[in-house]
Amino acid sequence: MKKQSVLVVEDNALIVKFYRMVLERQGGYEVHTTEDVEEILQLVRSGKIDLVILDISLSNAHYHSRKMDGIEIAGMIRQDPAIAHIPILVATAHAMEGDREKIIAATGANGYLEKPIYDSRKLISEVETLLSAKE
Amino acid sequence: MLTLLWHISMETFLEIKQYMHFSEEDVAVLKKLGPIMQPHLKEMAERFYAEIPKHPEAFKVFSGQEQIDRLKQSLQRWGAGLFAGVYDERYVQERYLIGHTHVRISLPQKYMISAMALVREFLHQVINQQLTEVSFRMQAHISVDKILDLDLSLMCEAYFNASVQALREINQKLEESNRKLLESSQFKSEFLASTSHELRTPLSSILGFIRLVLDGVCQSREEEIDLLNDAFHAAEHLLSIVNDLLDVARIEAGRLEVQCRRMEAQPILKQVISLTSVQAEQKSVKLVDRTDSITLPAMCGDPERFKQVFINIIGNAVKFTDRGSVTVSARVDDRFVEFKVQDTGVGIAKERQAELFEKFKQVDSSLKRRHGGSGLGLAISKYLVERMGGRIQLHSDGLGLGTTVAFTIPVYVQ
Repeated sequence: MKKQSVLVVEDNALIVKFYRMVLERQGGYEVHTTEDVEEILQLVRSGKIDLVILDISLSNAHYHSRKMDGIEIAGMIRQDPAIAHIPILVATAHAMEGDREKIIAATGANGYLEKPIYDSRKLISEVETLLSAKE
Repeated sequence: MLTLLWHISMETFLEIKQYMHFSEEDVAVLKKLGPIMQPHLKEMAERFYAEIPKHPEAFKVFSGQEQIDRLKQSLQRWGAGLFAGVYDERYVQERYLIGHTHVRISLPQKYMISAMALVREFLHQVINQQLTEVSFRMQAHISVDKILDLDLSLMCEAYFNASVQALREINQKLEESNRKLLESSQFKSEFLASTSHELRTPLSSILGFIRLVLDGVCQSREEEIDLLNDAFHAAEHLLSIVNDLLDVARIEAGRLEVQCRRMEAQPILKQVISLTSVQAEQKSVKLVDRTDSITLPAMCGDPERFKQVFINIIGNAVKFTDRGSVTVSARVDDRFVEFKVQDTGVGIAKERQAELFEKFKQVDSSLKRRHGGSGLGLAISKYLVERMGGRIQLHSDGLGLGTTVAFTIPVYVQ
């Protein structure tokens, strides 16, 4: 069976490193990572990606030299009928009261994890749940 | 300061006139009374100012013979106006102004009313003494009462309007301060939210990497050490954020101690520069020290805090510069040493430069997120420099054009 692919959109290099170790080694997934919005759209449209893990506050995400955050990126994905169905797992350090509801409503996310994210089993099970719901 | 409403509309005046049945007949009577009353107006003013400064409210306001003489004359003019037979716009505005003046000099309305009663009593006495024809005397009493009531109405109207205006201005100030309080409370909530965000990010790496090592995910001892190293750096980063937050809390509570004593800056500079040069070398950024060639005088400050400011500023410069150089220089004059840290880094847009020194605004800047740190460093540095008696300034021509931070520390004087 072909490996399933996860695209990680995250600006903190250490956190990307953590996702890679967990998802590749423990989860057996293929991991792509980028903050470039055009590359994100291209990857998702190519059909190579099964799930997107999306951070909200991003420092290098640009689209035609305009800065973007995770909410806008989710919006671009959801607006494109060809890729609108892709599961999005939001993983963010925004954890004040009401943030979860607001962000889920704004992104149409299928799952939501609050940082610190360090329980690898929980992360993998969340990813698995979303991937199996998709099938 | 009060902005006064200088005018009353003629419409209002005509309404009052009508309400009081002030007729052409009254005008004729008052005109006829004019020459009879004129010789007594001086006495009226004398009596008035013998009596009225005893009024407890007026006592505070009236002082000095010269002022009283001036007021006596204006009272005579006012009295002459009553009998001039011309009750036009100018007359109305003059009366209106007297009412305003009472508010401006903080005399209460009751003073105005009792002053009017004094005048009224005097004018009736004069009428009784001077007019022998009974029917004209009766008519004169009535017309004088009407014109005095009219005058008092105008003055009270003015008093009322000016008081409303004053209240409105107080209200505006209250609303303004209320808005500021709300804004500051909003800043604090945002500060709390972004602080929580900033703390969770390194915590994610610390907990995540330790968990991976404990779970035995690593394939070699080297990899374990590598992950623990990452966790360690994230923890150091977390510690620096916590230290900055504690400093901010101490500043807010007025409990951050900054000493001002004789201090030698050069050894501190050397220490900080050698500390930061490691970071700079990793990024291939050239760290140029121009303070070598000059001798700095002893300065007045807190060596620990001075070091903290320097670490902050040079640290920022290196952090925000990806290629080129960071240059440290110093300039000495009679009273101050000015330190300058100039970089060729990312720079900062003009409109955001002022925000950098504010505690609650810049915590969530995206630049800081890319480069790490609490984003509070400059706000803390500004506070420390000012407490040591210096000033701090930031200059950048814009994004991509580098940044210069300059600050002064006073020279030590025995």
